Parts: sequence; structure tokens; C-alpha cells
Amino acid sequence: MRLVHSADLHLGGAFVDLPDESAAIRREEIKSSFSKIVDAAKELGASAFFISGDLFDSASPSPNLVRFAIHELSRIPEIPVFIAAGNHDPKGAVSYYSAGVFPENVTVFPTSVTRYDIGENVSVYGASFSSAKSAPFLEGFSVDDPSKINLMCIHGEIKPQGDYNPISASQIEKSGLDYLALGHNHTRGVEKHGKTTAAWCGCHDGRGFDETGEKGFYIVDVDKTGCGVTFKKSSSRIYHDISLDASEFQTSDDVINAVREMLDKNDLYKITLTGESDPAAFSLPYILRRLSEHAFFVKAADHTRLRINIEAVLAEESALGYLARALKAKAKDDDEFVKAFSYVLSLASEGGGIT
Amino acid sequence: MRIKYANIISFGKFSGLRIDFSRRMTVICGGNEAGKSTVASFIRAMLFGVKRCREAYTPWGGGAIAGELVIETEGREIVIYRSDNGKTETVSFTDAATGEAIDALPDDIYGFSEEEFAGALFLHLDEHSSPGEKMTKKLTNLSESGSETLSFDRLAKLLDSRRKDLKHVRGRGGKIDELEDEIERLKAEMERSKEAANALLSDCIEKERLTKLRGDAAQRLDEMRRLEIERERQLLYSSLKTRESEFDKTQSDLDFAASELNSAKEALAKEKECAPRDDRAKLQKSFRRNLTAAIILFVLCAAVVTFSLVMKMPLFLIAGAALLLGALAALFFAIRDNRKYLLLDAALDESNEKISVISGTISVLEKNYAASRAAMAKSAASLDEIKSEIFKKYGEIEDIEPRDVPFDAEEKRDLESQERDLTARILSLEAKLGADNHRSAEEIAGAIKTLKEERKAAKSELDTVNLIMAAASDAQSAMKKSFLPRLRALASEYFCALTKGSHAGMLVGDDFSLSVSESGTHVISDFSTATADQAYLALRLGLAALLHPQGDAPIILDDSFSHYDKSRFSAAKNLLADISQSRQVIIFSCRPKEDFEGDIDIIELK
Repeated sequence: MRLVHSADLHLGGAFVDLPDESAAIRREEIKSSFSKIVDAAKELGASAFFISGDLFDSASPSPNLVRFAIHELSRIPEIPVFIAAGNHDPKGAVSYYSAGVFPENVTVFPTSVTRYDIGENVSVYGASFSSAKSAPFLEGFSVDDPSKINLMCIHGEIKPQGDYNPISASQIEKSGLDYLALGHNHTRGVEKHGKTTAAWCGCHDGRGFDETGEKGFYIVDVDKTGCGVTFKKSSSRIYHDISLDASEFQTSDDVINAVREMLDKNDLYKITLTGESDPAAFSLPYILRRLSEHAFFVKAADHTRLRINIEAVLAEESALGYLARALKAKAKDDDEFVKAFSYVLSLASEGGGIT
Repeated sequence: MRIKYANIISFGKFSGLRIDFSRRMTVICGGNEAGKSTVASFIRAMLFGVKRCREAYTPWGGGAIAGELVIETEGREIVIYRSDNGKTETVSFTDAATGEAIDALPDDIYGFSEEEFAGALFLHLDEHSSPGEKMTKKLTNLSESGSETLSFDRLAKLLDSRRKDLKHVRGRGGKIDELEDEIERLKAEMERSKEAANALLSDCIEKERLTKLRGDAAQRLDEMRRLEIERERQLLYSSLKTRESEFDKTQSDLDFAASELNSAKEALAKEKECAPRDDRAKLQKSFRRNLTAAIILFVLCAAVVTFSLVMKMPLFLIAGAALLLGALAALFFAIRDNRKYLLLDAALDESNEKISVISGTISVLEKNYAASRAAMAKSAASLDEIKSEIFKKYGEIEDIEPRDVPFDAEEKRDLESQERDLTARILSLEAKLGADNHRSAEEIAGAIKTLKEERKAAKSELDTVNLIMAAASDAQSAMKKSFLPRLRALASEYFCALTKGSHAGMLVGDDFSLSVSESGTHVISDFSTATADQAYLALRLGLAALLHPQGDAPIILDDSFSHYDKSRFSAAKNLLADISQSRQVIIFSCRPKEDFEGDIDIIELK
């Protein structure tokens, strides 16, 4: 059978890095990316559609978002959809998940592991978080009928202990499951323990610079002989975290010229300048202004070390030398000293202090 | 830098006055109100701006303050032109050789700032002040080997300004407090948003439930409406069938009536055709003719017989017999005609009766036929009507299978009512939900996260600023300790020269307080004004020597010797003459020009 496995959609989540207008665009795009997965499930003729937790970013999403999700899932009445509530959108006493508002093809798992059968040969197990944290669901779990294709859709993490349904490798191995569809980890990955394939597909579209790269969902072809897991992109834009050695650059334009070629107009970038630079060599506002024409969003940070020979300055009989020595004596550590000294030098770009 | 000449266009009492200054020492002397301070102020005004003295030196002849000061610096002659109309000041720096405007800051052109000029290079009568803070910082940079120079004063101002921007020292204020206030505000908003979201959740769920119910009801209602339409269609087609059947029947009736009518008509025709010819008149005529002939023949016979008998002419009896035979024959024919007549009459009566019956039947049948035609026309119209209705509705007339349609009008009414009721309840909930304009807690949490990051950065920056300010203070102290010994040595040396060794020396405190060594150390205020003047002159000369060891800045003394006795004046004059060997010295003095002798340019103002 073929199933579509998605997770961590976080509909309604905030975009902390972005200005209001860009965040508003991204909020709509995140929804659109979810629609893409629904389209894919329809086109692929999936036998089931799994959402392994955190469909919404909160337990009380806005009515519009819930309506949106209902509308989207109503478009595939022929495909059984299984939703496991996650730590962000637990299935509490008062919850959309408990309200029976979803279409008939949608099953939201109860808060304990429950089995649903698709036809005679497929069993789907799953459970929902009832609050932001959850004890292990798979402790002592094993499938009812090993001869069937046994699947599980659940939010959790593969680690020995934790607050979010920790799952151990041995629990997976003993489960007798053919495919364990996980959510929670926003970076995708596949593991095999015993005969069970466990996979977390990651989030479906990036929301910050800690969610870089292509994001999407898994198409899983599973039978009793094994699993084929294929990643499919659904993200509308890609977050890039680029670290750039700026030691060779003299001016802001040098940085711009080097970075511009890497940019895609559609994507979001965080550029971190590393290496060494002269004091106040680069103007981040200028760099951002110029680069922003070539990407959806750019942020930049200058983490370059000053090229100035601090040891020499510390030995100087100059006002700067006196200040450097005083700073060195007062600073807790070298980092604080370098930071403060860089701050003094940066004032030069503001036309003060240093001539 | 040295001052070459001053061209006073209009400044206070002077207009059109040019004063040339010696490369070494120039003394401008004159009595009270001669204008010495005016010239001194003119020099300062030309160097650093008219604004400060525009009211004191408004040209007596009216008009704008204007003048030129020509200076020589680094081998270039530069004309400083300033004019001030009381509101705005115009200034230009021009290269005297090329006439090109010079785009540089005054401090950079002169090599000293106004603070430095006021604190070290220009000494006014009775001015007993320490060097300004700014110049103190400048002093710390003396004879340094570093490539960078640092203005602690400027740095402190920037840092202080930045610190104020970040957090006010007293009371709440600054970016950090603003961020904290905003974070608190957002936290409160988030709490409200959460509460509102929870309160609304039930309403939302109820609304979704009702929406689903309405959806179900609407779906069923659609089905009912579809069934209603289907039923109507079925009814129409059923009606069509009935009318077609009726039409067929009327058609058949009509055919039958026509057939019967035709049969009757045929029977009538046949009857008429079979009816005997009405020869009665002919027979009657023949009868009468035969009877008449018989009578005539009988009469003739009687006559002949009579004649024969009378005449006894037997032959005539033959003739009478023949006549009798004729009469009998005629009678026979008359009787035959009569009989035929009677038979014909009876036959005609019978035939006429038959025709009359058939005609009656035809009449009835014709009525039937007309009725059938009318019925058929009506049925056809009815059929056309239903066909037209069907065609109008469906575009074509199909051959549909008749079936029972489970349409329930009562259920439909119930569903419509249900849908209306649910819609009203949903709208009411929507209005309630629509009134909620809270930002979502997630969005607010995102904004708080951003603000916290900003606050963290601002606090970190404040820590850095505080660290630098503390370090700058330490650095200044350390630097002061490094230049003060040199200043002390120079100032003490000049003081000894001015006092001709009557004092052991002069001490400059860390705070630039002055004290004199004489049987112990005494603060300068314990001494006479003249000694204090000497001490401060020594300090200024020491500062100037430290700041401009190459002599590239003039020393200007405005009435600095007023309290000096002859001996003090002589010592000062000698010292300044020595200094003027390497540095331009300009002295404004109320002493008579005779007091100044030697290689000195003397300009007397009157």
C-alpha cells in the first residue's frame, strides 16, 4: 500500500525572523504547502494520509485555520486521514480534535494507542498527546496481528528519555510494526530497527533559520516485505544559513558580490560573516539593502574578528592602548574584552571617539 | 599655524583696519577702550565663529560683522573670511595662492580645537581656570606612539548618549525599559489572547458542529430538491403518457366515428342506389292512358256492336270484337299499370323509410364524429401543451422510465426550516467570533521572542557600554598619571622663570589644581593675584608646550600682565621673548609701548 506521511505543519505558527508583511505572506504559503501535500495524496491515490502531530501550532488555533484544515481534508474524502495530536496541539478536553468537526474520512486518534483497520489487511495504530508533554506510548506495545500490514502514526522522538513520548530502538524493534510514522523532529530521517522502519518526515515548510533546506513529506510504499520511503518537497521557499569567510573582502560591495550569486529570489537567507575584517569594514544595513533585492528575505550578522593586532594595541603607549589595557583588566574574559574593544572601534564608523 | 594678518572689515568699533603680525612676537598696546580686546576677540571670532560675540561687537557703523584672518599653516596661506548679519554667519576658507575653497574642518586646518585654544593658547586677564576636560583628554594623547588617537571626551559623550538610549540612569526610560514594557504589554496581551482563545474555543467548536450539521442538512435538502425536480419530471412525463393515451383514444374514437359515418353514408348511397325508380307518374299516366283507351275502346266496341246489331252488319261485330279485345287489352294494361303503380309505391315507401332511417343514423354519426374531432383537438392541444412544457424545461423529450420518486415534501419543509435555524445560529456565533480581534498567542509569542532577543542584545550592549565607560575612566586616570609629571615639570620650569626662582616650584594636581612650593606646599589662592596670574600663565605655557611642542600654534595673551610689577613683567617679557623664538606670541597689553623693547613688533591702538 502507499501512504503519505506528513508532520509538524504548525499551521498558525509565528515567524519571528520576518517583518510583518513577509510573515503574513509566509503564513499563507505554509497553508498552501499543506494543500500541496493534500493534492499529492490525491494524485498518488494514497491509501492513507498520516499527520504525525503538530498540525496546528497551538491547542487553540484560530477558527479560520481549523476551517482551512477541514476544507483541505474534505477534498480527499476517499482517503482515510489519520491525525495524531502532538505536543503543540494536544487533544485536550476542549479541543477541535474532540469536537467531531473534521470530515468523516478523518480520524483523530484518542489519547491512548488505538487500532483502526483499513480493509482486511491493514491496521493503523496511533495515539494523541493529551497535553504538551507525554509519557511513552510504545512501552510494551506490540501489534495485534503480525500477519497484517501494521502502521503507526504518532508524535514522538527516538531517545531513551524525554517529555515528548520518548521511544527507544528496542521498543520499535519489539513493536512488530512495518512502518512507524513519527513527528516532532523537524529534520527528516529514516531509521530501521528490526523489521520496523521508523521515519520522521520533518516539517513541511521552513519557519525559521533553524529549519533550513528543502522541507516536505514522505511517500511510503509498504508491504510485508518492507518499506520504500521517498521524500517529496512541499516547501514553498527555502531557508538558508550561510556562513561566509569575509577575510578576503575589503568592502561591503565585496561581500555583496560574493553573496549575490548564491541567492535565489524566492528564498530566505541568513548570512553570517566570519573570518577577519578591518574595523567597521562592512555596513550591514547597506549589504542588507542591496541583497534584499535578490532574495525574499535576507538577514546578516557580522561575526568577523577584527584584523587589528590587539596584542600590539595593548602594548601601545597611546590613548587606545590605555583603553585597551583598562578594558582587558575589567573584562571577565577574552570574549568580553574583544566584544567591548570591537564596540569602541565600531564607534569610529559613527564619527566619534576615534580619529 | 601662525596668524599673518587680520583684516577687520567691520567689527565693533573697527572698520577697514589691517593688522600684520610678526612671525615671532607682536605686541598690541593701547589704553583702556583702545580696542585691544576687540582685536583679540576678532581673532577668536575669525578662527571659531562670530556667533558668541555678535552682540558685543556689532559694527558701530551698522551693517554686518565681517573680516578676514590670514593664517599660514603647513606652508599654505589660508584666508578665513567670516561675515555675520546678526542672524546667519557666512564662512569660507580659501587658499590665498590658488583661490580655491578649502573643504576641511577648522580644527584640522588650525591643528587645534576651540577648547584647546581657550584652555591653552589664549589667556585672558584674570583667567584662573584649569584646562577643560576635553583638552585634558587631548593632553593624554601627547607623545604617543600609537597609530590611533582617541578622544575620551567624544567617546564618553557617545557612550553616555548610547547608555541613555539604552537605559536611563534615574527612573525608567531607554530602549531596555521600553522593550521590557513592551514585553510586559505583549505578555498581558498574550494572556488575554489565550483567555479569549479558550473562551472562544467552545463557540468555535459549536460553530463547526453546527456548520457540519448545516452541511448535512443542506446536502439532504439538495437531495430533496433533486427528488422534487425528479418527481416533477416524472409527473410531467406521466401526464404526457396519459395525454398521449387520451389522444390515441380520441384518435381511435374519431376513426371509429368516421368509419361508422362512412359506412352509414355508404349504406345510404347504396340504399339510394338500390331504391326503385319512381315511375309512378309514368305508370299513372300509362294507367290513365290505358284506362282511357279501354273506355274509349269499350265505347267504340259498344257502338260498333250496336251499329252492327242495328245495322246487322256482322262484319262490324268482328270489328266490335276487335275493339273489345283492344278495350280489354287496354284495360289489362291499365290494371297492370295500376298494379305496378301500387307495387312501386309500396317499394318506394319502403325505400324511403330505409333512407330516412339511414339518414337519421348519419346525422347521429356526424354529431359523434364532430364530437370525436373536438375531443381529439382538445386532447392534441393538451398533449402539445405538456410536450411544450417538457421541452421548455428539459430541452428535449426523452423516453424516460417511469419510477417512484421518494420525495417527501414535509421532510423538505423540515430541512429548510432546520437549515434556516442552523444558519441563524451560525451567524450569531460568527458575529461573536468576528468581534474577536485578538492576535493569536503564537504570533504574540513570536513578537515577545523577538523583543526578548532585542532586549538581550540591548542589555549586552549596555553591559559593554558600562564596561567601556568604566574602562575609559580607568584609562584616563592612568594616562593622566603619565602626562601630569611632564606638565608639572614644564609648568614648574616656566613658573620659576616667571618668578625668577623666588619659589621652589609649582605643583599641578591630578585635578589641575595649582599649588606653590614655598616652605611647604600652599594652594595658589593663598598667594597674591599677580603670583596666581604667573602660575596660570606658567600652566598655559606648559600646556601649549606639551600640546604643540613644535611651536605650530600661537600663544595669545590678553592683558595678562595687569597685576604684574616691573620685575614680574620683565621676567614674563623675557620668557615670552624666548618662547617667541620658536612660537608666534601675540600680546595685548595696556602697558605703554616703551615697556616693550627689542625684536618686537609693536602696534599701538589709539
